Amino acid sequence: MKDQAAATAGPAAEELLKQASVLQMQAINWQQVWLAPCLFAGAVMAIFFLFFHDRSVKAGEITEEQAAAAGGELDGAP
Amino acid sequence: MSEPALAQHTAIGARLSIMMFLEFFLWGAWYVTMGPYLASLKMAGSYIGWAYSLGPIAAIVSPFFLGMVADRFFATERVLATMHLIGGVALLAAPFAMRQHPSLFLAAVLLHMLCYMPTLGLTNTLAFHNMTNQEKQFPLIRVWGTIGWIAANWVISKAQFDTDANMFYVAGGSAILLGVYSFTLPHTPPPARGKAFNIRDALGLDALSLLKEGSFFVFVLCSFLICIPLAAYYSFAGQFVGEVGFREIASTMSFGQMSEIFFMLVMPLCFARLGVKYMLLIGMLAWVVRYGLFSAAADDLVRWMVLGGIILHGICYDFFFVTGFIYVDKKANKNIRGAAQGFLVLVTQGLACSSAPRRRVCWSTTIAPRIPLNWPPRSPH
Repeated sequence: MKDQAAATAGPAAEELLKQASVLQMQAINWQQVWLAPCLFAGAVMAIFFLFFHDRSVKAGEITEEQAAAAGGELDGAP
Repeated sequence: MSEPALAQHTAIGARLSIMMFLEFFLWGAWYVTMGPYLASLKMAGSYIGWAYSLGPIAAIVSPFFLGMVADRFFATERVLATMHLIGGVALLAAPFAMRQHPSLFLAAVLLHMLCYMPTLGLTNTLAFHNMTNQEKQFPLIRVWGTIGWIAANWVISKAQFDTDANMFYVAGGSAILLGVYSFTLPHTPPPARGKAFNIRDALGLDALSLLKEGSFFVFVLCSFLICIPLAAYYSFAGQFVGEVGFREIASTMSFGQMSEIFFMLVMPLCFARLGVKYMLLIGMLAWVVRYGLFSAAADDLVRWMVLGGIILHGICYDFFFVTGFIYVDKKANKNIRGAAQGFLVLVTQGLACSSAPRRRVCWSTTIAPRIPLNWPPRSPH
Protein backbone atom coordinates (compact mmCIF):
# COMPACT_ATOMS: atom_id res chain seq x y z
CA MET A 1 0.00 0.00 0.00
CA LYS A 2 2.76 2.34 1.07
CA ASP A 3 4.82 1.41 -1.98
CA GLN A 4 1.82 1.97 -4.19
CA ALA A 5 1.26 5.41 -2.65
CA ALA A 6 4.91 6.31 -3.11
CA ALA A 7 4.80 5.11 -6.70
CA THR A 8 1.72 7.22 -7.34
CA ALA A 9 2.97 10.26 -5.40
CA GLY A 10 6.49 10.04 -6.87
CA PRO A 11 5.75 11.19 -10.42
CA ALA A 12 3.11 13.62 -9.15
CA ALA A 13 5.56 15.13 -6.70
CA GLU A 14 8.21 15.30 -9.44
CA GLU A 15 5.75 17.12 -11.67
CA LEU A 16 4.82 19.56 -8.90
CA LEU A 17 8.48 20.28 -8.19
CA LYS A 18 9.10 20.87 -11.88
CA GLN A 19 6.16 23.24 -12.07
CA ALA A 20 7.42 25.08 -9.00
CA SER A 21 10.82 25.34 -10.65
CA VAL A 22 9.30 26.75 -13.81
CA LEU A 23 7.29 29.30 -11.82
CA GLN A 24 10.39 30.38 -9.91
CA MET A 25 12.33 30.72 -13.14
CA GLN A 26 9.55 32.89 -14.51
CA ALA A 27 9.74 35.17 -11.46
CA ILE A 28 13.29 36.25 -12.35
CA ASN A 29 14.36 36.94 -15.90
CA TRP A 30 17.45 34.73 -15.66
CA GLN A 31 18.10 34.92 -19.37
CA GLN A 32 18.66 38.68 -19.09
CA VAL A 33 20.50 38.28 -15.80
CA TRP A 34 23.23 36.16 -17.45
CA LEU A 35 23.16 37.86 -20.86
CA ALA A 36 24.46 41.16 -19.45
CA PRO A 37 27.69 39.69 -17.96
CA CYS A 38 28.11 37.54 -21.09
CA LEU A 39 28.13 40.60 -23.37
CA PHE A 40 30.26 42.60 -20.93
CA ALA A 41 32.87 39.84 -20.63
CA GLY A 42 32.86 39.50 -24.44
CA ALA A 43 33.61 43.22 -24.82
CA VAL A 44 36.45 43.00 -22.26
CA MET A 45 37.87 40.02 -24.13
CA ALA A 46 37.83 41.99 -27.39
CA ILE A 47 39.67 44.92 -25.75
CA PHE A 48 42.26 42.52 -24.38
CA PHE A 49 42.74 40.83 -27.75
CA LEU A 50 43.24 44.14 -29.54
CA PHE A 51 45.48 45.96 -27.08
CA PHE A 52 47.56 43.36 -25.22
CA HIS A 53 50.81 42.71 -27.07
CA ASP A 54 53.27 41.58 -24.43
CA ARG A 55 55.76 39.04 -25.73
CA SER A 56 58.28 39.40 -22.90
CA VAL A 57 56.92 36.33 -21.10
CA LYS A 58 57.73 33.37 -23.30
CA ALA A 59 55.67 30.22 -23.62
CA GLY A 60 57.10 27.14 -21.92
CA GLU A 61 58.54 29.07 -18.99
CA ILE A 62 56.51 27.43 -16.26
CA THR A 63 56.50 24.00 -14.73
CA GLU A 64 53.57 22.03 -13.37
CA GLU A 65 54.77 22.80 -9.84
CA GLN A 66 54.96 26.54 -10.49
CA ALA A 67 51.43 26.51 -11.90
CA ALA A 68 50.10 24.60 -8.91
CA ALA A 69 51.97 26.83 -6.46
CA ALA A 70 50.64 29.97 -8.16
CA GLY A 71 47.08 28.63 -7.97
CA GLY A 72 47.50 27.95 -4.27
CA GLU A 73 48.80 31.40 -3.47
CA LEU A 74 45.76 33.16 -4.91
CA ASP A 75 43.77 34.62 -2.03
CA GLY A 76 40.25 33.84 -3.09
CA ALA A 77 37.57 31.20 -3.32
CA PRO A 78 38.81 28.17 -5.26
CA MET B 1 66.94 12.85 4.72
CA SER B 2 67.35 10.72 7.89
CA GLU B 3 64.44 8.56 9.00
CA PRO B 4 63.38 10.68 12.04
CA ALA B 5 63.70 13.87 9.96
CA LEU B 6 61.60 12.34 7.16
CA ALA B 7 58.95 11.19 9.66
CA GLN B 8 58.87 14.66 11.24
CA HIS B 9 58.61 16.29 7.83
CA THR B 10 55.72 14.00 6.84
CA ALA B 11 53.97 14.71 10.14
CA ILE B 12 54.24 18.48 9.65
CA GLY B 13 53.01 18.10 6.06
CA ALA B 14 49.96 16.18 7.32
CA ARG B 15 49.25 18.80 9.99
CA LEU B 16 49.47 21.63 7.46
CA SER B 17 47.23 19.67 5.06
CA ILE B 18 44.58 19.30 7.79
CA MET B 19 44.83 23.06 8.39
CA MET B 20 44.27 23.77 4.68
CA PHE B 21 41.42 21.27 4.49
CA LEU B 22 39.56 22.90 7.38
CA GLU B 23 40.40 26.44 6.16
CA PHE B 24 38.51 25.88 2.91
CA PHE B 25 35.97 23.40 4.29
CA LEU B 26 34.51 26.08 6.56
CA TRP B 27 34.31 28.55 3.66
CA GLY B 28 32.81 26.06 1.21
CA ALA B 29 30.21 24.98 3.78
CA TRP B 30 28.29 28.25 3.55
CA TYR B 31 29.59 30.48 0.76
CA VAL B 32 28.09 28.64 -2.21
CA THR B 33 24.71 28.06 -0.62
CA MET B 34 24.20 31.36 1.21
CA GLY B 35 22.48 32.70 -1.94
CA PRO B 36 19.95 29.84 -2.19
CA TYR B 37 19.38 30.10 1.59
CA LEU B 38 18.63 33.83 1.36
CA ALA B 39 16.47 33.28 -1.72
CA SER B 40 14.48 30.65 0.20
CA LEU B 41 13.75 33.37 2.78
CA LYS B 42 12.40 35.51 -0.08
CA MET B 43 15.22 38.02 0.20
CA ALA B 44 15.55 40.35 -2.78
CA GLY B 45 18.39 40.11 -5.30
CA SER B 46 19.84 43.36 -3.96
CA TYR B 47 20.08 41.90 -0.44
CA ILE B 48 21.83 38.77 -1.73
CA GLY B 49 24.18 41.01 -3.73
CA TRP B 50 24.99 42.95 -0.56
CA ALA B 51 25.65 39.77 1.37
CA TYR B 52 28.16 38.66 -1.26
CA SER B 53 29.81 42.10 -1.33
CA LEU B 54 30.99 41.68 2.25
CA GLY B 55 33.78 39.25 1.35
CA PRO B 56 35.46 41.61 -1.13
CA ILE B 57 35.11 44.48 1.36
CA ALA B 58 36.89 42.33 3.95
CA ALA B 59 39.51 41.48 1.31
CA ILE B 60 40.28 45.20 0.94
CA VAL B 61 40.63 45.67 4.72
CA SER B 62 42.63 42.47 5.21
CA PRO B 63 46.09 43.71 4.06
CA PHE B 64 45.89 46.55 6.60
CA PHE B 65 45.19 44.13 9.44
CA LEU B 66 47.95 41.78 8.30
CA GLY B 67 50.44 44.59 7.81
CA MET B 68 49.66 46.56 10.96
CA VAL B 69 48.96 43.80 13.49
CA ALA B 70 49.21 40.14 12.50
CA ASP B 71 52.59 40.16 10.74
CA ARG B 72 54.29 42.38 13.33
CA PHE B 73 53.25 41.51 16.83
CA PHE B 74 51.86 37.99 17.23
CA ALA B 75 52.81 34.44 16.35
CA THR B 76 50.97 33.42 13.18
CA GLU B 77 49.32 30.30 14.63
CA ARG B 78 47.86 32.32 17.52
CA VAL B 79 46.41 35.01 15.27
CA LEU B 80 45.00 32.25 13.07
CA ALA B 81 43.41 30.56 16.09
CA THR B 82 41.93 33.78 17.47
CA MET B 83 40.51 34.89 14.13
CA HIS B 84 38.85 31.53 13.54
CA LEU B 85 37.36 31.39 17.04
CA ILE B 86 35.83 34.86 16.68
CA GLY B 87 34.78 34.23 13.08
CA GLY B 88 33.29 30.86 14.03
CA VAL B 89 31.14 32.42 16.75
CA ALA B 90 29.94 35.02 14.21
CA LEU B 91 28.88 32.26 11.81
CA LEU B 92 27.13 30.30 14.56
CA ALA B 93 25.26 33.48 15.47
CA ALA B 94 24.24 34.24 11.86
CA PRO B 95 20.94 32.24 11.84
CA PHE B 96 19.95 33.79 15.19
CA ALA B 97 20.83 37.23 13.81
CA MET B 98 18.61 36.57 10.79
CA ARG B 99 15.68 35.80 13.08
CA GLN B 100 16.18 39.19 14.78
CA HIS B 101 16.70 41.31 11.68
CA PRO B 102 18.29 40.73 8.24
CA SER B 103 20.69 43.64 8.80
CA LEU B 104 22.10 41.80 11.81
CA PHE B 105 22.68 38.77 9.61
CA LEU B 106 24.79 40.94 7.28
CA ALA B 107 26.68 42.23 10.32
CA ALA B 108 27.43 38.66 11.44
CA VAL B 109 28.64 37.70 7.95
CA LEU B 110 30.76 40.86 7.75
CA LEU B 111 32.36 40.12 11.14
CA HIS B 112 33.09 36.59 9.99
CA MET B 113 34.62 37.73 6.70
CA LEU B 114 36.73 40.37 8.43
CA CYS B 115 38.13 37.56 10.57
CA TYR B 116 38.36 35.02 7.76
CA MET B 117 39.99 36.93 4.89
CA PRO B 118 43.32 37.57 6.69
CA THR B 119 43.53 33.86 7.55
CA LEU B 120 43.97 33.02 3.82
CA GLY B 121 47.30 34.85 3.93
CA LEU B 122 48.12 33.54 7.41
CA THR B 123 47.72 29.88 6.43
CA ASN B 124 50.05 30.45 3.45
CA THR B 125 52.60 32.18 5.73
CA LEU B 126 52.41 29.33 8.22
CA ALA B 127 52.78 26.69 5.53
CA PHE B 128 55.71 28.43 3.82
CA HIS B 129 57.53 28.91 7.13
CA ASN B 130 57.35 25.21 7.97
CA MET B 131 58.25 23.68 4.60
CA THR B 132 61.70 22.63 3.45
CA ASN B 133 61.00 22.77 -0.31
CA GLN B 134 58.26 25.32 -0.90
CA GLU B 135 57.88 24.88 -4.65
CA LYS B 136 57.36 21.13 -4.40
CA GLN B 137 55.53 20.84 -1.08
CA PHE B 138 53.16 23.80 -1.16
CA PRO B 139 50.95 22.56 -4.04
CA LEU B 140 50.58 19.19 -2.30
CA ILE B 141 49.44 20.91 0.88
CA ARG B 142 47.31 23.56 -0.81
CA VAL B 143 45.35 21.04 -2.90
CA TRP B 144 43.83 19.86 0.39
CA GLY B 145 42.17 23.26 0.57
CA THR B 146 40.33 22.65 -2.69
CA ILE B 147 39.49 19.11 -1.53
CA GLY B 148 38.13 20.62 1.69
CA TRP B 149 35.94 23.01 -0.31
CA ILE B 150 34.57 20.13 -2.43
CA ALA B 151 34.03 17.96 0.68
CA ALA B 152 32.10 20.78 2.36
CA ASN B 153 29.87 21.16 -0.68
CA TRP B 154 29.08 17.45 -0.64
CA VAL B 155 28.47 17.33 3.12
CA ILE B 156 26.03 20.24 2.86
CA SER B 157 24.18 18.66 -0.05
CA LYS B 158 24.05 15.15 1.40
CA ALA B 159 22.73 16.58 4.69
CA GLN B 160 20.18 18.53 2.63
CA PHE B 161 21.32 21.85 4.11
CA ASP B 162 21.51 23.60 0.69
CA THR B 163 18.83 26.12 1.62
CA ASP B 164 18.92 25.54 5.36
CA ALA B 165 20.39 27.66 8.18
CA ASN B 166 22.20 24.55 9.45
CA MET B 167 24.96 25.26 6.90
CA PHE B 168 26.12 28.07 9.20
CA TYR B 169 26.34 25.68 12.15
CA VAL B 170 28.47 23.27 10.09
CA ALA B 171 30.71 26.14 8.94
CA GLY B 172 30.86 27.81 12.36
CA GLY B 173 31.62 24.51 14.09
CA SER B 174 34.43 23.85 11.59
CA ALA B 175 35.83 27.32 12.24
CA ILE B 176 35.87 26.72 16.00
CA LEU B 177 37.52 23.33 15.42
CA LEU B 178 40.18 24.96 13.22
CA GLY B 179 40.61 27.71 15.82
CA VAL B 180 41.38 25.17 18.54
CA TYR B 181 43.51 23.09 16.17
CA SER B 182 45.54 26.16 15.17
CA PHE B 183 46.94 26.43 18.72
CA THR B 184 48.62 23.05 18.13
CA LEU B 185 50.29 24.10 14.84
CA PRO B 186 54.06 24.69 14.70
CA HIS B 187 55.19 27.96 16.25
CA THR B 188 55.60 30.59 13.53
CA PRO B 189 57.00 33.95 14.66
CA PRO B 190 55.56 37.14 13.15
CA PRO B 191 57.29 37.51 9.75
CA ALA B 192 57.54 41.32 9.86
CA ARG B 193 58.50 41.81 13.53
CA GLY B 194 60.34 45.10 14.04
CA LYS B 195 59.49 46.47 10.61
CA ALA B 196 57.56 49.72 10.25
CA PHE B 197 54.09 49.54 8.67
CA ASN B 198 53.78 51.18 5.30
CA ILE B 199 50.47 51.73 3.46
CA ARG B 200 52.24 51.54 0.10
CA ASP B 201 53.49 48.06 0.99
CA ALA B 202 50.13 46.91 2.35
CA LEU B 203 48.24 47.88 -0.79
CA GLY B 204 51.04 46.98 -3.15
CA LEU B 205 51.19 50.53 -4.51
CA ASP B 206 54.84 50.15 -5.51
CA ALA B 207 53.52 48.01 -8.33
CA LEU B 208 51.86 51.10 -9.84
CA SER B 209 55.12 51.80 -11.67
CA LEU B 210 54.42 48.69 -13.78
CA LEU B 211 51.27 50.35 -15.13
CA LYS B 212 53.42 52.66 -17.24
CA GLU B 213 53.88 49.73 -19.57
CA GLY B 214 50.96 49.62 -22.01
CA SER B 215 50.32 45.88 -22.04
CA PHE B 216 50.51 45.55 -18.27
CA PHE B 217 48.00 48.39 -17.96
CA VAL B 218 45.68 46.59 -20.41
CA PHE B 219 46.09 43.39 -18.39
CA VAL B 220 45.20 45.10 -15.08
CA LEU B 221 42.31 47.03 -16.64
CA CYS B 222 40.84 43.90 -18.24
CA SER B 223 41.35 41.88 -15.04
CA PHE B 224 39.43 44.55 -13.14
CA LEU B 225 36.61 44.70 -15.70
CA ILE B 226 36.20 40.94 -16.07
CA CYS B 227 35.90 40.56 -12.28
CA ILE B 228 32.89 42.91 -12.08
CA PRO B 229 30.48 40.37 -13.61
CA LEU B 230 32.29 37.72 -11.58
CA ALA B 231 30.51 39.15 -8.55
CA ALA B 232 27.23 38.19 -10.23
CA TYR B 233 28.43 34.62 -10.57
CA TYR B 234 29.40 34.33 -6.90
CA SER B 235 26.15 35.94 -5.80
CA PHE B 236 23.57 34.22 -7.96
CA ALA B 237 24.93 31.03 -9.52
CA GLY B 238 23.88 28.89 -6.54
CA GLN B 239 20.34 30.27 -6.58
CA PHE B 240 20.16 29.82 -10.35
CA VAL B 241 21.36 26.20 -10.17
CA GLY B 242 18.68 25.47 -7.57
CA GLU B 243 15.96 27.10 -9.63
CA VAL B 244 16.95 25.19 -12.78
CA GLY B 245 16.08 22.09 -10.80
CA PHE B 246 19.28 20.73 -9.26
CA ARG B 247 18.32 19.72 -5.74
CA GLU B 248 21.87 19.24 -4.43
CA ILE B 249 23.08 22.75 -5.16
CA ALA B 250 26.41 22.70 -3.32
CA SER B 251 27.59 19.33 -4.63
CA THR B 252 26.56 20.32 -8.17
CA MET B 253 28.57 23.52 -7.87
CA SER B 254 31.58 21.54 -6.62
CA PHE B 255 32.08 20.06 -10.11
CA GLY B 256 33.67 23.43 -10.87
CA GLN B 257 36.38 22.88 -8.25
CA MET B 258 36.91 19.31 -9.49
CA SER B 259 37.55 20.61 -12.99
CA GLU B 260 39.90 23.19 -11.46
CA ILE B 261 42.12 20.40 -10.13
CA PHE B 262 42.11 18.72 -13.56
CA PHE B 263 42.95 21.88 -15.50
CA MET B 264 45.72 22.74 -13.04
CA LEU B 265 47.48 19.59 -14.27
CA VAL B 266 46.79 20.39 -17.93
CA MET B 267 47.67 24.07 -17.67
CA PRO B 268 51.48 23.92 -18.00
CA LEU B 269 51.14 21.92 -21.23
CA CYS B 270 48.76 24.53 -22.64
CA PHE B 271 50.96 27.38 -21.40
CA ALA B 272 53.93 25.97 -23.30
CA ARG B 273 51.97 25.95 -26.56
CA LEU B 274 49.81 29.06 -26.20
CA GLY B 275 51.74 31.64 -24.18
CA VAL B 276 50.31 34.29 -21.86
CA LYS B 277 48.05 36.18 -24.25
CA TYR B 278 46.11 33.20 -25.53
CA MET B 279 45.95 31.55 -22.10
CA LEU B 280 44.32 34.70 -20.71
CA LEU B 281 42.07 35.00 -23.76
CA ILE B 282 40.86 31.41 -23.35
CA GLY B 283 40.21 32.12 -19.66
CA MET B 284 38.10 35.16 -20.61
CA LEU B 285 36.34 33.22 -23.36
CA ALA B 286 35.40 30.57 -20.80
CA TRP B 287 33.64 33.29 -18.77
CA VAL B 288 31.77 34.48 -21.87
CA VAL B 289 30.71 30.92 -22.76
CA ARG B 290 29.71 30.16 -19.16
CA TYR B 291 27.43 33.21 -18.90
CA GLY B 292 26.12 32.44 -22.40
CA LEU B 293 25.28 28.85 -21.46
CA PHE B 294 23.51 30.02 -18.31
CA SER B 295 21.53 32.56 -20.31
CA ALA B 296 20.60 30.06 -23.03
CA ALA B 297 19.65 27.43 -20.44
CA ALA B 298 17.32 29.70 -18.47
CA ASP B 299 14.14 29.55 -20.53
CA ASP B 300 13.91 25.80 -21.09
CA LEU B 301 15.72 24.68 -17.92
CA VAL B 302 18.44 22.93 -19.93
CA ARG B 303 20.44 21.24 -17.20
CA TRP B 304 23.41 20.09 -19.30
CA MET B 305 24.12 23.69 -20.28
CA VAL B 306 24.14 24.76 -16.65
CA LEU B 307 26.38 21.84 -15.70
CA GLY B 308 28.67 22.72 -18.61
CA GLY B 309 28.87 26.29 -17.35
CA ILE B 310 29.82 25.07 -13.89
CA ILE B 311 32.50 22.70 -15.19
CA LEU B 312 34.02 25.59 -17.17
CA HIS B 313 35.12 26.95 -13.79
CA GLY B 314 38.40 25.03 -14.15
CA ILE B 315 39.32 26.96 -17.31
CA CYS B 316 37.92 30.25 -15.96
CA TYR B 317 40.01 30.00 -12.79
CA ASP B 318 43.22 28.29 -13.93
CA PHE B 319 43.64 29.91 -17.33
CA PHE B 320 42.74 33.40 -16.20
CA PHE B 321 43.66 33.84 -12.52
CA VAL B 322 46.60 31.47 -12.30
CA THR B 323 48.08 32.66 -15.61
CA GLY B 324 47.56 36.24 -14.45
CA PHE B 325 49.40 35.47 -11.21
CA ILE B 326 52.31 33.94 -13.16
CA TYR B 327 52.36 36.85 -15.62
CA VAL B 328 52.68 39.36 -12.78
CA ASP B 329 55.35 37.21 -11.18
CA LYS B 330 57.40 37.26 -14.38
CA LYS B 331 56.87 40.97 -15.08
CA ALA B 332 57.70 42.36 -11.65
CA ASN B 333 61.27 42.39 -10.41
CA LYS B 334 62.07 40.69 -7.11
CA ASN B 335 61.74 43.89 -5.05
CA ILE B 336 58.14 44.62 -6.03
CA ARG B 337 56.90 41.10 -6.79
CA GLY B 338 54.92 40.77 -3.53
CA ALA B 339 53.53 44.28 -3.97
CA ALA B 340 52.45 43.52 -7.54
CA GLN B 341 50.62 40.35 -6.47
CA GLY B 342 48.94 42.20 -3.60
CA PHE B 343 47.89 44.96 -5.98
CA LEU B 344 46.37 42.45 -8.43
CA VAL B 345 44.40 40.76 -5.62
CA LEU B 346 43.21 44.19 -4.42
CA VAL B 347 42.04 45.12 -7.94
CA THR B 348 40.36 41.81 -8.84
CA GLN B 349 39.08 40.27 -5.61
CA GLY B 350 38.57 43.54 -3.75
CA LEU B 351 37.74 46.57 -5.91
CA ALA B 352 36.01 44.80 -8.81
CA CYS B 353 33.96 42.35 -6.75
CA SER B 354 32.94 44.95 -4.17
CA SER B 355 31.32 47.26 -6.72
CA ALA B 356 28.04 46.53 -4.95
CA PRO B 357 26.24 49.84 -5.56
CA ARG B 358 26.86 49.48 -9.28
CA ARG B 359 25.65 45.89 -9.11
CA ARG B 360 22.57 47.03 -7.27
CA VAL B 361 21.72 49.38 -10.13
CA CYS B 362 22.50 46.63 -12.63
CA TRP B 363 20.29 44.12 -10.83
CA SER B 364 17.50 46.60 -10.36
CA THR B 365 17.13 46.72 -14.13
CA THR B 366 16.87 42.96 -14.43
CA ILE B 367 15.44 41.39 -11.30
CA ALA B 368 13.63 44.38 -9.89
CA PRO B 369 10.95 44.71 -12.55
CA ARG B 370 9.62 41.34 -11.45
CA ILE B 371 10.51 41.21 -7.78
CA PRO B 372 10.02 44.24 -5.53
CA LEU B 373 13.27 45.61 -4.17
CA ASN B 374 13.69 44.93 -0.52
CA TRP B 375 16.06 47.48 0.96
CA PRO B 376 16.29 48.03 3.86
CA PRO B 377 15.69 44.28 4.24
CA ARG B 378 12.73 43.03 6.17
CA SER B 379 12.67 40.22 8.70
CA PRO B 380 11.57 36.86 7.27
CA HIS B 381 9.80 35.96 10.50
